[in-house]
Amino acid sequence: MWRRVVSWVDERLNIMPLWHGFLDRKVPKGIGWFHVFGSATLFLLVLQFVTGIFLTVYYAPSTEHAYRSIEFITGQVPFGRFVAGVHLWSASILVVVIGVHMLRTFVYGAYKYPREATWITGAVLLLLVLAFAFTGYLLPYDQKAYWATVVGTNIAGAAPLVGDWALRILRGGTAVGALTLQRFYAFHIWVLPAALVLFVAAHLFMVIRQGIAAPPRRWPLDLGSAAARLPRRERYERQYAMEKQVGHPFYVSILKDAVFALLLFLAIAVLAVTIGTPLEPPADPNATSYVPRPEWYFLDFFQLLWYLQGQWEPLWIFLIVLGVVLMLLLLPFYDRGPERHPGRRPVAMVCAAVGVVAVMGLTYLGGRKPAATQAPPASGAATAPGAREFQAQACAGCHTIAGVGGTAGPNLSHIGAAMTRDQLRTFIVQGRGRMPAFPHISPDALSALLDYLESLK
Amino acid sequence: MSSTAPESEIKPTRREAVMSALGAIVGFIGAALAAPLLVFLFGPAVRGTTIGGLLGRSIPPTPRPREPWTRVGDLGGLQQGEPTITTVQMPVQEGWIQSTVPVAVYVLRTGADSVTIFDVHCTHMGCPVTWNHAAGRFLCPCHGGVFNSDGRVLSGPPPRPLDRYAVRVDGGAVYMGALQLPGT
Repeated sequence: MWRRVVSWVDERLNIMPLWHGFLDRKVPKGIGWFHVFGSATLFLLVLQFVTGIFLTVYYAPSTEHAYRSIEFITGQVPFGRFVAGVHLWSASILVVVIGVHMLRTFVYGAYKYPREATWITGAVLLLLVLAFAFTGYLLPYDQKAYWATVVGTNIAGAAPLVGDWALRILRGGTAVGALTLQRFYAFHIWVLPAALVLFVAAHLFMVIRQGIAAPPRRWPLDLGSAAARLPRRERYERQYAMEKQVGHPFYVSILKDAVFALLLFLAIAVLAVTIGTPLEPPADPNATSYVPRPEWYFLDFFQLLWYLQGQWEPLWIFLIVLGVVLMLLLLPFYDRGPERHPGRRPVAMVCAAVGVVAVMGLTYLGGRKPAATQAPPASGAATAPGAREFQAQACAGCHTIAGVGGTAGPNLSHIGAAMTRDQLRTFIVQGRGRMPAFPHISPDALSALLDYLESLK
Repeated sequence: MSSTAPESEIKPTRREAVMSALGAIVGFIGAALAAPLLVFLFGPAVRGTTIGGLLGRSIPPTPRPREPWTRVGDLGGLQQGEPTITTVQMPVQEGWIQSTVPVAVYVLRTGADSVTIFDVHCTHMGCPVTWNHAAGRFLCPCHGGVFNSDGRVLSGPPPRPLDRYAVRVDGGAVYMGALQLPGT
């Protein structure tokens, strides 16, 4: 039956030669498991599209109904927990898979001639996915959603000259509320998907038109002495033809892609069913004791804000964001060396390693338990009065003792060995540098605090 | 198969002319559509805003009041020197929505007839600041911003003091007005 349908269509449209040409075309040798991340990205995007479309059947984009509609989806609708869970978890995994895909492309030098435009469309796709993430997690309208949007839009406000406009355009005015949710919804459901489809189409067109880049060789293929005088395009084409000669048909690679997609799907399904979609309490603009935290993929940037200080901070934020975006987009233009093998690009490899360590390190630091700004309930009489004072004064907001606390100020775990009581007193009462003065602290509290700090050796 | 014109009969100049005309028409329709659409998208949000300085800034996410003055409470109930978190029922307008929403503010009595009302958002990135009684400080949980009871920055990244609302004290009652953002 199926064969008859295919032959009916083919007899009219003559499609089989295209289909076979697509499947049978040779790809270079060495296209293997490292290359599955590109197709995995595509698979996860499709998963996002499908689950996202179905979620709109029940989701209501209004501040009054958004939260309850999500509760309804995950609590009442059959398989709602699964559909919402797959949407949430595949989004998180998508960010990781794109990162690995870009890293693989970078290490293999696959963004170099003639694939510069493929890299640029890929970098735009990364930015689009981050925009999806940012607009998407306001939609449940829980506490995390609301406060992350307050912070995220304020970061846009840091831009020089047009900061106010950028902030208001994102929020739909100055307040974060109904208008913000409505436009985030419009962007998440219409604008960004339209842009995504365009760029995915362009990216795939280039990949298929040019063929997958051959894995880099430490010693380039010998084209013969006459080749040196050939134009670049011709040299490249000869080289790529030689690579394809020793390669394999494309359909062999597809099996690896499919197996990896299956593994991802199973992992996502397990996460969706076991963990589901954790919701915080409904958005409350007046919850002054709430500690805002972004979704994990923005924690690195959130943590970076600890280190930027002073009057020029907004400009630094802007320059860092602009710098990272331009570095990604323009990579093929400032790194134009012909070498593709990682062993011959030590500087590029060191830069990539530094980038990866920085992102992972900042994410880790940003992900640790936030310090409290209010004293926790008294933790028993066994605690020294000074330790309780340390809690009550919220010193842990900036200082770590025995692994608990913030990182803005020095770690005080062994401060008693480093400073005398008088030095400590001066620091607390008068302040110095970034340490604010606490002149109104009562003598009893100060003395208890000093006892405690002195004991930390 | 119909016969195709020989290479020499295709007139590149004619094709270019048609393409130019096509480009002009597409360009015109695009521009005529894009301009109103962009204003439609951005206009209401940026109304009344002018170009900013070299340094951007955060803006509190609090909805703006519909009435010039909203009653906060009685002067008599306010303690001097200690900021108190107070929730004000404020009539607001957001786009097509008119409603009365609770808005939390810190109210500080500074003298016999004088009151200061702070917005609760850290001026760094808009996280909610907490008044810590023991420390006598406003603390921000996000990036370690510290403010004293006057709203002055003592430590951390906040670029300006806590934002304030206009205040009117009238017959023993306290009213709050518009949020006073620097540079507006």
